[in-house]
Amino acid sequence: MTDGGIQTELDPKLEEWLADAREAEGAEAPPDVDAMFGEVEKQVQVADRSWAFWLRSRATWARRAIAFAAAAAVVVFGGVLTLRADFTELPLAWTLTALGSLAVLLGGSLYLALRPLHQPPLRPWARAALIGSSLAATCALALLAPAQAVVGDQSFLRHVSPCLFYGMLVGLPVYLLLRLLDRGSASVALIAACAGGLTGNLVLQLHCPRGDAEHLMGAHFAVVLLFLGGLGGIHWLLSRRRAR
Amino acid sequence: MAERTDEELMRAYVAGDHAAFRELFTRYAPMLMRLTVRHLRSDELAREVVQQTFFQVHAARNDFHQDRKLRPWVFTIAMNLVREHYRKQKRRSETGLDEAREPAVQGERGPIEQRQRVELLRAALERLPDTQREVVELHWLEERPFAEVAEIVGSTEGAVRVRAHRAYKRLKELLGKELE
Repeated sequence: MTDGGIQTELDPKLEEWLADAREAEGAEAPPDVDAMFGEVEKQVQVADRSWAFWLRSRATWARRAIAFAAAAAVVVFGGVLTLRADFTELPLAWTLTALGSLAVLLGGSLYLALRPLHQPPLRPWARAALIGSSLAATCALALLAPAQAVVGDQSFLRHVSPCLFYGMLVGLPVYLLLRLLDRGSASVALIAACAGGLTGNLVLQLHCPRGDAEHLMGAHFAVVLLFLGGLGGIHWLLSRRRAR
Repeated sequence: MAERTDEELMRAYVAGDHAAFRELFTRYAPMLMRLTVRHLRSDELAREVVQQTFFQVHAARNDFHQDRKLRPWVFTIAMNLVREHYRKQKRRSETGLDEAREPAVQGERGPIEQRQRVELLRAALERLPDTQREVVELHWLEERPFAEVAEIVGSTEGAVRVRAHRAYKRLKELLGKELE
């Protein structure tokens, strides 16, 4: 077979077999196009009545813009407007590294969570790289934060629960919005969970003045872990159950 | 009046011409049925995937760029759905080449022999890695040029050519003496 002037080397016998297969498929009975289209039309009519579908059917650049704007709003209202009192005292290099790395990872997750349908699905290694670097970065930020021992005599749970709750609360809208804007891509659940966790972590970086590793691991890093292990895990289990 | 191209129909559809959607479905459904039946080995499943493909075309219509070709765009959506089906199924049922191997009919090539050849070839295709199989199917059976196949499977043209070369070599090995 020629392809753009370049000859594809093919055994003549195999070529004959492939030609037979093509011919045989061409001779098969055509599908009942009218009946099939009728069902598609019904499905389309039902979907078009839903506002969620209207959102989902926006162009991918628009869906991404909505997700970026929503995440930015959450960070501004949840973190910037409730900025920690000691923010200006933090080392500038640390602040830039922490906020910059989280912003880049969050931006990457939002971008990848909303892929267009006409592109092949995200490669597993790309998804693993994004999730792995998000976990590594948030863990490193918790362990390497400028030391500040203010644990006091509170129990661990009382010590971490307010930030854990706040981080989950601000991350949840981003996660839910990504799920709403998703058109049914296979890998979105985990990436959306990652984006939710990163949003929560970024907001806590701006909002919470505590710097001890126990708090940062048990509250800030745990937000990312809970999003990935909890929400992402539940969706993964549900999709496995549906597949059975 | 000259027949409108696929891209013109898609543009008309995005602009609100519903009849264009029907026309596109009429053009693409038989092609997509062939493509999906080959993978799924079930008319019913293939019909569902074709319908789902068009539902997704509707959902993604605002992503269609005027300067792009429609066919690879639609085929990629269909192939993604087929892959998604596999992912859900985890492993598709393995139909061994041996099951399809039957003694070849001697003498003049008739319709029965052709059917056997097709079955043997399909069974051999099933034994190829998915990445090689989809290249052979799109390139040979759907007669898509390598550049378009690359676009559909999300790879480079060079990589697709390498896959095709390996696939044809492997097919020849699998079909072995049947080809002689």
